[in-house]
Amino acid sequence: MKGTRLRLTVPTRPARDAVLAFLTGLEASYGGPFAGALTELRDAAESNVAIAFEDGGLLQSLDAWQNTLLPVAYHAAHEVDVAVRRAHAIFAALGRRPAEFIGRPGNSLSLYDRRFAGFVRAMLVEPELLVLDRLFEELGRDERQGIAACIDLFGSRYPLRRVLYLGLSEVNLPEFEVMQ
Amino acid sequence: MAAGVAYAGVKGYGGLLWDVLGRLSVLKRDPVRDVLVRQMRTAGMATLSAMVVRAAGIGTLIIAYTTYVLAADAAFAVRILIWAVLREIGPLFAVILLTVRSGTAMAAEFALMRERGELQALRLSGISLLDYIIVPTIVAMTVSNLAITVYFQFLAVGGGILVSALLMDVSIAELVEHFFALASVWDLVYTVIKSLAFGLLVGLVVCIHGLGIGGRQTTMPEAVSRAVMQSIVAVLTFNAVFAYLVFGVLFFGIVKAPA
Repeated sequence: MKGTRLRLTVPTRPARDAVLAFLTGLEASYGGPFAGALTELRDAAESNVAIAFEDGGLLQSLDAWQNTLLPVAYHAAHEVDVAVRRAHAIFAALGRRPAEFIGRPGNSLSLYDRRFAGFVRAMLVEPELLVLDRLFEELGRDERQGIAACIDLFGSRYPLRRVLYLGLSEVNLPEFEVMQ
Repeated sequence: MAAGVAYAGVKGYGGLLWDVLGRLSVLKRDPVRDVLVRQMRTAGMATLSAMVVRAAGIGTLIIAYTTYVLAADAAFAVRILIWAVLREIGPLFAVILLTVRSGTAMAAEFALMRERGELQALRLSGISLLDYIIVPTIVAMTVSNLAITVYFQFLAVGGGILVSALLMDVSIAELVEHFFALASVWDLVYTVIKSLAFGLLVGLVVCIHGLGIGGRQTTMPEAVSRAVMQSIVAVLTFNAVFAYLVFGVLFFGIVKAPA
């Protein structure tokens, strides 16, 4: 169903890698649990899948701001100006300033800020399916609320698009529908 | 067994080279061009700054040696300079500097990116490693090595001629005249082909070992060590084969092609 928010707890890191590779189309087949539901998600997204990584997935060779724009700049160079304006709007909507991220390599940011930059990067792609990779784990309550605000912003901007939360433990999971 | 491994290795390099040639158009994309510029800065500038004294020193050494030990005249000294610096030492010295200074840095950077999960994040974000990392790196290494070689040769020949003018009773103008009379366009073509091929080979080896292509999942120090060793072996092998194909000699004339 469109607009749904699901959560899936995987037992191990390799299992998480397999799910991500399958959803993004890097692997054609998936033999783990919930294969049917994951296949349905993947097919519905038609390869338009973005991942907000647990550590942001930022490259050290770029600053955090450049990282947020990288996938858009790589895939659709003509839309970079639009993406920059949208990134500014997302930062503003979440009470952050791009200046906090410009010129700063990923490893100089806190875990929360890395995840925040990674989330904005995923959101800028405007994915049909947004995968949240353990985003609530190892964060304090306020920071989890910050991530929840990001997810709500995505939901408000793209109400018909789906969100899948991937967790490695049962602690601090968002109140999403459990994948069946 | 060893032949099989060598064949698999050559096939792997050949396949990667083919892929790179087929994707050169990605250099038009801004993020890929940014990587190209960054890698050229790493490969070119880092090496260029290290070679001024070395290049001039080598040119000087060659001239001093031929003058004193071989009691050469100006024309012979310049001929040795052309043969050694333009054809052999120039391209080889430049690529060794490129490998040691920039090849190691790039192999280490790639291996660290692999260990930090950055490569996986790129792949999962739909960004091809071939397009975003391998193509710009190999192009940067190839072009940079040509620039480094030309720079090295200019400094070495210039340094050699300058010292010759001081050591022998000849003017700089006379030596320059000898140089242009003895150097041929073929020397230039030969050195350009060689330095482009050397840079290409080092780029391929660095990418394969740094990024762990073809299942070569090694630790960072191991990746760097293998990248350096295999780069040098690949360059020396190509140098010998190319010299044999062009001049019909191997190992400075010890082995000659059949008539």
